[in-house]
Amino acid sequence: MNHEKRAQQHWLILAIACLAYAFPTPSKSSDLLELSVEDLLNVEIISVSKKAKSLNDSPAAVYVITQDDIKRIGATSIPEALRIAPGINVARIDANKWAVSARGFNSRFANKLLVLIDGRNTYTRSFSGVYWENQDVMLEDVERIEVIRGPGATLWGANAVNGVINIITKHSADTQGGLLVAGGGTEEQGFGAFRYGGELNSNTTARAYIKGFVRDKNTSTSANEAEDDWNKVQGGFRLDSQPTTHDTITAQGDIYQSIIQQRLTPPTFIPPTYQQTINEEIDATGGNLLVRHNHIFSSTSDYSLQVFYDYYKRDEDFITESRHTLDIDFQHRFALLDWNDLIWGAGYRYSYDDWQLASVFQLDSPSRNDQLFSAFIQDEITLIDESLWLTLGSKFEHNDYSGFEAQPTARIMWAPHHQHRLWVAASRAVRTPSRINNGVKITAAVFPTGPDSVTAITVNGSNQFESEEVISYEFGYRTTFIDNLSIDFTAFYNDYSHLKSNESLTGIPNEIATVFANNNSAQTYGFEVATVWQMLDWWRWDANYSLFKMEFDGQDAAAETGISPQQSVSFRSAISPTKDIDLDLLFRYVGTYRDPDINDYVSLDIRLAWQPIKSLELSLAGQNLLAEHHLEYTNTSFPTPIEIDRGMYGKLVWHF
Amino acid sequence: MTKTILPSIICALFFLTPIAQLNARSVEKQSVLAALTLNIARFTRWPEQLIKDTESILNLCVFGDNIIQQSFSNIDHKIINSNTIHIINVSRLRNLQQCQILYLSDLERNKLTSLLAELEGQPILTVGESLAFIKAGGMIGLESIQGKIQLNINLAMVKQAKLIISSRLLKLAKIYPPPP
Repeated sequence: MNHEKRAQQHWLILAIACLAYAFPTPSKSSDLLELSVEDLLNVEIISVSKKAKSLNDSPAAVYVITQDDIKRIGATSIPEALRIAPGINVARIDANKWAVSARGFNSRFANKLLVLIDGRNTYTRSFSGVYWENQDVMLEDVERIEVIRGPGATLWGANAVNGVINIITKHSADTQGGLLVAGGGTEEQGFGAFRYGGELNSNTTARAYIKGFVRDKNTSTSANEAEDDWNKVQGGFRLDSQPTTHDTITAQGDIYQSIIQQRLTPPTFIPPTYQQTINEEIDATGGNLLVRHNHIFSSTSDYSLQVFYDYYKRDEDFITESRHTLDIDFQHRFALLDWNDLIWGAGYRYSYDDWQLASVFQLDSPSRNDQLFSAFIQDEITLIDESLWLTLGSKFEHNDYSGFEAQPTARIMWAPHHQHRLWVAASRAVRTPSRINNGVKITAAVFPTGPDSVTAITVNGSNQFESEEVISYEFGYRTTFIDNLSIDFTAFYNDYSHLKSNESLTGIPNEIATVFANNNSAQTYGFEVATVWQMLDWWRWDANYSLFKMEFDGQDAAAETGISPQQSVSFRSAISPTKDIDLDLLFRYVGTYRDPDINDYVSLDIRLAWQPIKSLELSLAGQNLLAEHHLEYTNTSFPTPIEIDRGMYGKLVWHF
Repeated sequence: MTKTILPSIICALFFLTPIAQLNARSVEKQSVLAALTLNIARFTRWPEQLIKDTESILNLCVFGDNIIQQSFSNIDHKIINSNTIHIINVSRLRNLQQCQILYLSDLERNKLTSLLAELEGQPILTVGESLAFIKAGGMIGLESIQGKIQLNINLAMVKQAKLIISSRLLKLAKIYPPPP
């Protein structure tokens, strides 16, 4: 006991010493004002504490992942980068599949999170979600990723029920010259990227890139190795032009091909086992092209017109799916009467899909055209100049599945002082029906019931299926009341209705059938805290905590409630002891979910980087270091759970 | 005992860091930017009548995040050349005609170009944080290069706005476009 007490005292003294050291005598700005211009131009400046002191001015739960964050956590894909955001659950299903969701409802086919890459919606109508393995960018060219928890439907549209992820790449003027990335390791077996940016004329800059990777198999819980390795090649460009001082044009595009391995055990109607094991190779290809014109009338008025086309095809042995999407969006922003900032817009989306189906996976039609019309208006009203704002807005849209939808929001932002921000919001958002909700017939199992007869368990879509709906209430507080420390707190209460349910369907011979309906409801609540502490100008700490609770009313409660972890913690230390060395530690805890299938786990990533010369960086990263392999997710569609392996890789980045 | 090992290591790391880190008298960038802007105002002459109209108040409008706002709040009410500095935050970029100085931090490229084009010829001293800022039509660009601030002045834009910047300041600055 005595010993323990002494240890505690010891710790206390150290802590005080640490803190004393961490808060060195602040340089007074009044001293600075005494200095002459000559002296001011010679003062040694530091500019690293921005993240620890800046407060976001949006009345929403926004977390920004910067280029520096992506680099320093050693992320090799977009989902891996999203792991550091509070309130976001990223579960890696296997090497090539992720389940990503905000505030619950996580799944491989999670459908309540909207993901945009430079304004291009990556959502697919097939299951109202995102194929994460199809979405990639040159990570070095990302400027920032804005992670917005909570409904963002008013501005961004349907399916932004629980959040929006906005991936924004750098302007091509900021990516001039060459960049070469090369590396490899145990899980990240090999990767490389090359980008070159140049000036085409005095007002046009552009860049082009090509990247590729090979990723290793993980560990199956039943066999020794999972068949989940994959590789991908992707190339693309971005061009920015400013033909006049009031007009800018951006054109960008990407094209990719990946070979993905997966093992499936779908049922068949063939005796005696009525089940088959497929080790298949998926050929996933796709591309997109986006053009945006922005015209600025004045500092308070501008419009933009954006058109994009997106195509993807997944060629599996089992089923093949391809989809073309054309999207047109117009936005106009202007000030009215000195205290209103209005923004309104209209959009149209056309989508065409084509499927080759299997006997156990059928759709009502093998191909379909879908149209979506939308319009929105939002007004930011300044109630008190530079301190109190009210935002009111609504999105209105019409889709071919659930018809007309309105998604309003009301938000208040109060900035009582430049170190404090408070906001509250109430919003409605919907998740519109997917192609699968509307007309699928999945045979989940087949078993013999007699010498010549079998019975199938089937899940059926329905054209009666409506949108899922949420009314969300949020509260947020951000502060930097202590120098170099920022705290961002958000609490939420979400009331969901018309959630998807499975109702039994009688009268079909030789089938035990269920059909999708909207008879479930749920309430979720919780809070998220994100803190950044710039302890020293070369040492930063980030700590995030998320608590999530769900109460589910309906027969699927057991399956639905445990779908996301209740608690998660991430703890990060970013140290630069000298100008050319970075040492980064990322510790994460993810609570138990889908109890008792997935236990809570801890993971540690470490990255060490050295910059021998300004244009060259060498780094060594270890990922998931605390266990040889760990389970993050299980999915009924992929019956053999796959555990994610520990990995190490080395990397070289050369700017020229 | 193991409980104290981790904090001890962390603490030890502090003390092992180069002493040079301790001694360097480094100041936060935003505070220096505010102090510099104040000094630039001291060496600038506006067309005489304009200052008279505003009764010896020099409106310094600031567009930027809370860090910039905080650092500029330290120079609010300072008196230079018998004019009192009055800080106005303009987060929505409205009513810019009231400004004698406009400090623009972190504005999107395309918005910046058109805003500066709009203000061209008006007696508003525009101050930004990069060389790109003056290339886009701004007057003063306070660029950070290797831990120090470099003063860049677009003299053509200053003259067009009929502002006069003292030769003392010009001597310390890099002039753009470079004189032949």
